Amino acid sequence: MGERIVVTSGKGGVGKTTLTLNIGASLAMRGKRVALVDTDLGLRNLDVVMGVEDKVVYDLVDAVEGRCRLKQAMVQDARFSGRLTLLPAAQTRDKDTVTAQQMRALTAELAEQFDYVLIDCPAGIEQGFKNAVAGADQAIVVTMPEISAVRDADKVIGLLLACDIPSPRLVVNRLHTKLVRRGDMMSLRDTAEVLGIPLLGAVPDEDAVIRAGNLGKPAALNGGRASTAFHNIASRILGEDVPLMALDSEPARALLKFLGFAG
Amino acid sequence: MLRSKRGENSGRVAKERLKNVLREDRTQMSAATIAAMRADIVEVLSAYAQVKDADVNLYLLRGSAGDETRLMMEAKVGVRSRTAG
Repeated sequence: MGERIVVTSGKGGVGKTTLTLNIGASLAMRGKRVALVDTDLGLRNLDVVMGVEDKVVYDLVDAVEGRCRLKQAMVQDARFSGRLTLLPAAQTRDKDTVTAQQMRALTAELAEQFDYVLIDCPAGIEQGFKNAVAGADQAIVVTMPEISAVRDADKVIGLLLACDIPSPRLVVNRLHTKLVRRGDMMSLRDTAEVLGIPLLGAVPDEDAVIRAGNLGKPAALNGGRASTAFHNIASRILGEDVPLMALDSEPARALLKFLGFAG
Repeated sequence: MLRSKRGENSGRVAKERLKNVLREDRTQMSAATIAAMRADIVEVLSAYAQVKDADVNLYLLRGSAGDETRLMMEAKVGVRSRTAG
């Protein structure tokens, strides 16, 4: 039985889709079978960021409503020896098309065939969020070190705990090293401290990630610090003990010690 | 030269503002409820120490308890004298 992990944030534009794709890509590169599920019905995006939009025939709603078999709706990415697969969102339907119960059944079926089922959650805390969370046993909360994103992340953490997802983990995305150093952005440490959940990883804001999205090629396939950060997050999901990169002005050791990764 | 030239450390300001906003977001309790809770805490502790209403600070923090993350209420109470008030 595979692990079902929802990637959520409350606020839009913090990098849920990119993070979902790159964690999936990294896990697939290590031989894991990964299903990505785009639950953003009506605002489909994971297919274009991944670069497989031309291959989409059926979608999540087609599979749920029985117009196709689940397998027919799954889009394989040739770059990962068939180990990275996408279940695209429907583009013409809205969030209320699917129920939480249907989503639970769908991800349970996927978990029988895949090692990891990564669920890309829509922004907001309405039905789309509830559906995405219903299909998951674990959660990754993504935020940016910015006041509105952190507030929304806090709200989402409260909702996840109420939904019996006992220990959501945090990814601080798009950290501007220069701004942090200058004192004009909350540091990784500040953000994690305010939200009070375990830190799964931190990703620097990097042009390479935007370029990768433009090209429809997961950043995890390239080099760079953001790419390394994505691979590190995947490693921690696999249970490996990988230290955090030093992304702040703070001395690396003090930071690691604070976060419990080093003595 | 590492600090912003405008003088203000806006990252720190953001953190403090967030802490205040989240305290209210997380409690979802009315000011009246919080006041009542504060009064009760003072009443209970007064049997053992001298405590004033203004010395009771209530915080809601999130933290790990075993494998679970929970919301935890913390009350910091300034004690004026260790004899019953």
